[in-house]
Amino acid sequence: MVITMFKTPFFEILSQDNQPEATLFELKLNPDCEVYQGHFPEKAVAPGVCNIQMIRGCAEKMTQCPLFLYAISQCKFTALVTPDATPLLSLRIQLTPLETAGAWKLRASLFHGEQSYLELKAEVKAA
Amino acid sequence: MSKALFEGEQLYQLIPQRPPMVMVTHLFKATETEAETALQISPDNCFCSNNRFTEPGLIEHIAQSAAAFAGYPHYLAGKKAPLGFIGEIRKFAAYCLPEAGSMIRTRIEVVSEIMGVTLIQAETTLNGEKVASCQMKIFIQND
Repeated sequence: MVITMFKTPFFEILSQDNQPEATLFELKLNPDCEVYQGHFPEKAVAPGVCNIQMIRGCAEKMTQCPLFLYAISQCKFTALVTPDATPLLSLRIQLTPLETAGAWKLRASLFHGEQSYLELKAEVKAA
Repeated sequence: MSKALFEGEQLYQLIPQRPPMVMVTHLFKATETEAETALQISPDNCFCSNNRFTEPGLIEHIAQSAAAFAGYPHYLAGKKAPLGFIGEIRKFAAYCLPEAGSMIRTRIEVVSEIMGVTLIQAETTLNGEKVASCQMKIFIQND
Protein backbone atom coordinates (compact mmCIF):
# COMPACT_ATOMS: atom_id res chain seq x y z
CA MET A 1 0.00 0.00 0.00
CA VAL A 2 1.30 3.41 -0.95
CA ILE A 3 0.57 5.79 1.88
CA THR A 4 3.17 8.35 1.02
CA MET A 5 5.04 9.16 -2.13
CA PHE A 6 7.75 11.21 -0.49
CA LYS A 7 11.27 9.88 -0.06
CA THR A 8 11.20 10.97 3.56
CA PRO A 9 7.76 9.94 4.86
CA PHE A 10 5.24 12.71 5.50
CA PHE A 11 3.95 11.00 8.65
CA GLU A 12 3.97 7.87 10.75
CA ILE A 13 1.17 6.01 12.53
CA LEU A 14 1.86 5.76 16.26
CA SER A 15 -1.28 3.76 17.05
CA GLN A 16 -4.54 2.48 15.58
CA ASP A 17 -7.54 1.88 17.80
CA ASN A 18 -10.48 0.13 16.10
CA GLN A 19 -13.66 1.15 17.94
CA PRO A 20 -17.16 -0.04 17.00
CA GLU A 21 -18.21 3.26 15.41
CA ALA A 22 -14.90 4.54 14.09
CA THR A 23 -11.15 4.05 14.11
CA LEU A 24 -8.87 6.41 15.97
CA PHE A 25 -5.30 6.91 14.78
CA GLU A 26 -2.53 8.75 16.58
CA LEU A 27 -0.15 10.24 14.04
CA LYS A 28 3.16 12.05 14.02
CA LEU A 29 4.16 14.40 11.24
CA ASN A 30 7.73 14.39 10.06
CA PRO A 31 9.12 17.96 9.82
CA ASP A 32 12.03 16.60 7.72
CA CYS A 33 9.76 15.52 4.84
CA GLU A 34 10.99 17.16 1.61
CA VAL A 35 7.55 18.63 0.94
CA TYR A 36 8.42 21.46 3.35
CA GLN A 37 11.27 22.60 1.10
CA GLY A 38 8.55 23.95 -1.15
CA HIS A 39 5.53 24.46 1.10
CA PHE A 40 6.67 26.99 1.96
CA PRO A 41 10.37 27.90 1.81
CA GLU A 42 9.87 30.54 4.53
CA LYS A 43 7.29 28.71 6.64
CA ALA A 44 6.60 24.97 6.92
CA VAL A 45 2.87 24.31 6.57
CA ALA A 46 1.49 20.82 5.96
CA PRO A 47 -0.28 20.98 2.59
CA GLY A 48 -4.02 20.35 2.97
CA VAL A 49 -3.85 17.78 0.19
CA CYS A 50 -1.10 15.87 2.02
CA ASN A 51 -3.41 15.68 5.02
CA ILE A 52 -6.11 14.28 2.71
CA GLN A 53 -3.60 11.79 1.35
CA MET A 54 -2.68 10.82 4.92
CA ILE A 55 -6.38 10.20 5.68
CA ARG A 56 -6.69 7.99 2.63
CA GLY A 57 -3.57 6.10 3.71
CA CYS A 58 -5.07 5.46 7.14
CA ALA A 59 -8.43 4.45 5.61
CA GLU A 60 -6.50 1.91 3.51
CA LYS A 61 -5.22 0.43 6.78
CA MET A 62 -8.87 -0.12 7.70
CA THR A 63 -10.09 -1.54 4.36
CA GLN A 64 -6.85 -3.47 3.67
CA CYS A 65 -7.04 -2.43 0.01
CA PRO A 66 -5.93 0.58 -2.06
CA LEU A 67 -8.66 3.22 -2.29
CA PHE A 68 -9.70 5.64 -5.01
CA LEU A 69 -10.95 8.92 -3.55
CA TYR A 70 -13.53 9.69 -6.25
CA ALA A 71 -15.70 12.24 -4.46
CA ILE A 72 -15.40 14.86 -1.73
CA SER A 73 -18.71 16.48 -0.85
CA GLN A 74 -16.98 18.78 1.62
CA CYS A 75 -13.55 19.22 3.15
CA LYS A 76 -13.08 22.06 5.63
CA PHE A 77 -9.62 23.19 6.69
CA THR A 78 -10.15 24.93 10.00
CA ALA A 79 -6.56 25.61 11.12
CA LEU A 80 -3.06 25.45 9.65
CA VAL A 81 -1.07 22.34 10.48
CA THR A 82 2.55 23.22 11.18
CA PRO A 83 4.84 20.21 11.66
CA ASP A 84 7.26 22.05 13.96
CA ALA A 85 4.62 23.34 16.39
CA THR A 86 2.01 20.56 16.16
CA PRO A 87 3.59 17.29 15.00
CA LEU A 88 1.16 15.09 16.95
CA LEU A 89 -2.31 14.67 15.50
CA SER A 90 -5.33 12.50 16.15
CA LEU A 91 -7.41 11.21 13.26
CA ARG A 92 -10.88 9.73 13.58
CA ILE A 93 -12.20 7.86 10.55
CA GLN A 94 -15.65 6.40 10.06
CA LEU A 95 -16.28 4.18 7.04
CA THR A 96 -19.85 3.25 6.12
CA PRO A 97 -20.42 0.77 3.27
CA LEU A 98 -22.36 2.17 0.31
CA GLU A 99 -24.82 0.10 -1.72
CA THR A 100 -22.18 -0.43 -4.39
CA ALA A 101 -19.88 -3.25 -3.29
CA GLY A 102 -16.37 -2.11 -2.40
CA ALA A 103 -17.39 1.52 -1.86
CA TRP A 104 -17.62 3.46 1.38
CA LYS A 105 -18.76 6.78 2.70
CA LEU A 106 -15.80 8.25 4.59
CA ARG A 107 -16.00 10.81 7.38
CA ALA A 108 -12.79 11.97 8.98
CA SER A 109 -11.70 14.53 11.56
CA LEU A 110 -8.11 15.58 12.08
CA PHE A 111 -7.53 17.21 15.46
CA HIS A 112 -5.32 17.58 18.49
CA GLY A 113 -7.05 17.93 21.84
CA GLU A 114 -9.68 20.63 21.38
CA GLN A 115 -8.13 22.01 18.19
CA SER A 116 -9.74 20.86 14.95
CA TYR A 117 -7.73 20.99 11.71
CA LEU A 118 -9.75 19.25 9.06
CA GLU A 119 -13.22 17.80 8.55
CA LEU A 120 -13.70 15.55 5.53
CA LYS A 121 -16.84 14.06 3.99
CA ALA A 122 -15.97 11.88 1.03
CA GLU A 123 -16.61 8.67 -0.85
CA VAL A 124 -13.96 6.07 -1.64
CA LYS A 125 -13.92 2.78 -3.49
CA ALA A 126 -11.51 -0.10 -3.87
CA ALA A 127 -9.02 0.95 -6.55
CA MET B 1 -1.94 25.30 -28.64
CA SER B 2 -1.90 28.93 -27.53
CA LYS B 3 1.32 30.39 -26.16
CA ALA B 4 1.59 30.50 -22.37
CA LEU B 5 1.77 33.83 -20.51
CA PHE B 6 3.93 32.08 -17.90
CA GLU B 7 5.71 28.77 -18.15
CA GLY B 8 7.91 26.64 -15.88
CA GLU B 9 9.92 28.66 -13.36
CA GLN B 10 8.29 31.89 -14.54
CA LEU B 11 5.30 30.71 -12.49
CA TYR B 12 7.38 31.27 -9.33
CA GLN B 13 6.56 34.95 -9.81
CA LEU B 14 2.90 34.12 -9.25
CA ILE B 15 2.83 31.34 -6.64
CA PRO B 16 4.66 30.85 -3.33
CA GLN B 17 5.12 27.06 -3.69
CA ARG B 18 8.50 25.67 -4.73
CA PRO B 19 9.71 22.21 -5.76
CA PRO B 20 8.78 19.51 -4.99
CA MET B 21 5.38 21.16 -4.40
CA VAL B 22 4.92 23.01 -7.70
CA MET B 23 1.78 21.63 -9.38
CA VAL B 24 1.23 24.17 -12.14
CA THR B 25 3.57 24.63 -15.11
CA HIS B 26 1.62 26.92 -17.47
CA LEU B 27 -0.65 29.92 -17.25
CA PHE B 28 -2.36 30.46 -20.59
CA LYS B 29 -4.92 33.05 -19.68
CA ALA B 30 -5.83 35.25 -16.71
CA THR B 31 -8.62 37.79 -16.66
CA GLU B 32 -10.41 39.32 -13.67
CA THR B 33 -12.81 36.40 -13.46
CA GLU B 34 -11.19 33.39 -15.10
CA ALA B 35 -7.91 31.66 -15.81
CA GLU B 36 -6.56 28.74 -17.80
CA THR B 37 -3.58 26.75 -16.57
CA ALA B 38 -1.84 23.46 -17.18
CA LEU B 39 0.44 20.95 -15.52
CA GLN B 40 2.95 18.91 -17.43
CA ILE B 41 3.05 15.86 -15.17
CA SER B 42 6.62 14.80 -14.62
CA PRO B 43 7.07 11.08 -13.85
CA ASP B 44 8.98 12.05 -10.68
CA ASN B 45 6.13 14.27 -9.46
CA CYS B 46 5.65 13.49 -5.76
CA PHE B 47 1.93 12.82 -6.31
CA CYS B 48 2.56 10.16 -8.97
CA SER B 49 2.09 6.57 -7.92
CA ASN B 50 2.27 3.56 -10.27
CA ASN B 51 2.75 6.05 -13.13
CA ARG B 52 -0.57 7.81 -12.36
CA PHE B 53 -1.11 11.33 -11.06
CA THR B 54 -3.24 10.83 -7.95
CA GLU B 55 -6.26 12.64 -6.45
CA PRO B 56 -4.35 14.83 -3.93
CA GLY B 57 -2.18 16.01 -6.83
CA LEU B 58 -5.28 16.92 -8.85
CA ILE B 59 -6.62 18.94 -5.92
CA GLU B 60 -3.26 20.67 -5.37
CA HIS B 61 -3.01 21.45 -9.09
CA ILE B 62 -6.43 23.13 -8.95
CA ALA B 63 -5.45 25.05 -5.79
CA GLN B 64 -2.22 26.28 -7.36
CA SER B 65 -4.03 27.19 -10.57
CA ALA B 66 -6.19 29.40 -8.40
CA ALA B 67 -3.06 30.70 -6.65
CA ALA B 68 -1.49 31.62 -10.00
CA PHE B 69 -4.72 33.36 -10.96
CA ALA B 70 -4.74 35.25 -7.64
CA GLY B 71 -1.04 36.04 -7.93
CA TYR B 72 -1.29 37.53 -11.43
CA PRO B 73 -2.65 40.96 -10.38
CA HIS B 74 0.02 41.10 -7.63
CA TYR B 75 2.66 40.45 -10.29
CA LEU B 76 1.23 43.18 -12.51
CA ALA B 77 1.41 45.54 -9.51
CA GLY B 78 5.07 44.58 -8.99
CA LYS B 79 4.41 42.69 -5.75
CA LYS B 80 5.55 39.30 -4.45
CA ALA B 81 3.32 36.22 -4.83
CA PRO B 82 0.93 36.14 -1.85
CA LEU B 83 0.53 33.11 0.42
CA GLY B 84 -2.80 31.44 -0.09
CA PHE B 85 -4.54 28.64 1.75
CA ILE B 86 -7.44 26.37 0.87
CA GLY B 87 -10.28 26.98 3.31
CA GLU B 88 -12.72 24.47 1.90
CA ILE B 89 -13.13 22.00 -0.95
CA ARG B 90 -16.63 21.24 -2.16
CA LYS B 91 -18.11 18.93 -4.77
CA PHE B 92 -14.78 17.42 -5.78
CA ALA B 93 -15.09 14.62 -8.31
CA ALA B 94 -12.24 12.65 -9.86
CA TYR B 95 -13.13 10.80 -13.04
CA CYS B 96 -9.76 9.27 -13.87
CA LEU B 97 -6.11 9.49 -12.87
CA PRO B 98 -3.94 10.93 -15.69
CA GLU B 99 -0.83 9.10 -16.75
CA ALA B 100 2.58 10.52 -15.85
CA GLY B 101 3.96 12.43 -18.82
CA SER B 102 0.60 13.84 -19.88
CA MET B 103 -0.47 17.47 -19.69
CA ILE B 104 -3.67 18.33 -17.88
CA ARG B 105 -5.43 21.66 -18.38
CA THR B 106 -7.57 23.52 -15.90
CA ARG B 107 -10.13 26.26 -16.25
CA ILE B 108 -10.78 28.38 -13.17
CA GLU B 109 -13.79 30.65 -12.80
CA VAL B 110 -14.46 32.97 -9.90
CA VAL B 111 -17.90 32.32 -8.45
CA SER B 112 -17.70 34.97 -5.72
CA GLU B 113 -15.24 37.06 -3.78
CA ILE B 114 -16.17 38.20 -0.27
CA MET B 115 -13.91 39.59 2.51
CA GLY B 116 -10.70 38.07 1.20
CA VAL B 117 -12.29 34.68 0.53
CA THR B 118 -12.52 33.69 -3.11
CA LEU B 119 -14.85 30.91 -4.19
CA ILE B 120 -13.75 29.33 -7.45
CA GLN B 121 -15.13 26.65 -9.73
CA ALA B 122 -12.55 24.50 -11.51
CA GLU B 123 -12.58 21.87 -14.20
CA THR B 124 -9.53 19.83 -15.22
CA THR B 125 -9.33 18.04 -18.56
CA LEU B 126 -6.94 15.83 -20.48
CA ASN B 127 -7.23 15.99 -24.27
CA GLY B 128 -10.71 17.45 -23.81
CA GLU B 129 -11.86 14.62 -21.49
CA LYS B 130 -12.98 15.53 -17.97
CA VAL B 131 -10.44 14.50 -15.29
CA ALA B 132 -11.67 16.33 -12.17
CA SER B 133 -13.84 19.20 -11.02
CA CYS B 134 -14.47 21.00 -7.76
CA GLN B 135 -15.24 24.23 -5.97
CA MET B 136 -12.72 25.75 -3.61
CA LYS B 137 -12.71 28.55 -1.06
CA ILE B 138 -9.32 30.18 -0.98
CA PHE B 139 -7.88 32.70 1.48
CA ILE B 140 -5.19 34.96 0.15
CA GLN B 141 -2.90 36.50 2.77
CA ASN B 142 -2.20 40.06 1.73
CA ASP B 143 0.76 41.84 3.31
